[in-house]
Amino acid sequence: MRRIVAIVMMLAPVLASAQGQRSVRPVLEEQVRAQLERVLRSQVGLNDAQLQKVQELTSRLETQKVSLNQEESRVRQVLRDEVLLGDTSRNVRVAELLDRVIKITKQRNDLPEQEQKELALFMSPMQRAKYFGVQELFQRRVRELLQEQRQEQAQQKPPGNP
Amino acid sequence: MMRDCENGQIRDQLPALVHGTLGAAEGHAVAAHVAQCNDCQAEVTLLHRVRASLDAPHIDTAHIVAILPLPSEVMARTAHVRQVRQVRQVRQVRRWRMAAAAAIILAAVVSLASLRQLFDGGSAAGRSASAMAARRSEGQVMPSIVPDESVPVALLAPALVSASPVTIGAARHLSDAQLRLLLKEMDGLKALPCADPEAPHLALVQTDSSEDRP
Repeated sequence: MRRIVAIVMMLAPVLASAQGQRSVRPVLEEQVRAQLERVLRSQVGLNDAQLQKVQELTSRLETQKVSLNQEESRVRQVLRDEVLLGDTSRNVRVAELLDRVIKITKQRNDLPEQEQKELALFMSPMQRAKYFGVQELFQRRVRELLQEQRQEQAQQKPPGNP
Repeated sequence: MMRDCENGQIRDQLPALVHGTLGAAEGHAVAAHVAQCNDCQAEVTLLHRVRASLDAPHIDTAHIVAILPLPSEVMARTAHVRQVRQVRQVRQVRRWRMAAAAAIILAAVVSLASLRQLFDGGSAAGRSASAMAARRSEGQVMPSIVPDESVPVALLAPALVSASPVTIGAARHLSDAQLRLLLKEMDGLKALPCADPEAPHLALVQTDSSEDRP
């Protein structure tokens, strides 16, 4: 009994600190979400109904984007294998794969246009422009921060350890 | 060599004579015969020897009975032993239950931690970065399997936990410190489209327009 109590007492601070570290994360993410929502309401001027419609549209487009990314990854993997194989008799196959990559890229690049068309159904042009601005600034900044994160991780990695 | 007496009736009574179980009259008669008969004397001597060798050891039953505990003491001791055993068994069962409970709690905590780590997604960017670095280190010219926008960034999507319809998309992959920084910067966020286009694709082969660049 005493042993069990001792083990639990030893583990409790470790588990509590781990839990504490993790419990900060959802709060932070929620704060960012709330701040974004404030910006969209105050600066873009979106109301509840518009936010709801934007949510549905974005969800649909995100699903398409993820699907396209997955397909592109598969095609690129096959294309990569073909290049590694180096069999010139399979040029037709390589050309087809390359065309598919370009086609998928084009489909993904068409998504913003599709998004704007659908946003135009319930947003004014000014609102769309402002929403576009918020979206762009946020995405760019997140990409920059992710890039910094990757660079830091690459620097921390010991040499010779891929 | 010993011979049997011809008087079978007397001979049959010799063991009884040795054990002293004959009546007085029979005893005198048999004893008188034995006094005159050598064969019967030899047999009686033999019977005495046999009897002496078969005598059981003396057991002091009175002493044994005196040192034995009384039935009430025996019952009391037995009850005490039973109680002690029951208490020990109960304690042992409690210990096992506590140990099992502690093990289950520990396993649950570890499982939850693992699941949270699995679904946290915090290391996705790290994995992606390491995969990219590995490809770069290969130094081979071949198409990348990762699309340009491998990490989708969405402002709005179905809210799974939060009541807000806004999601932070790829910002989930940022560290806590980066999220705090982003949160501060968002205070000054203006809803204005950027004047500069996104980072242009760099040409691998030099062109006229690229030569003109500073």
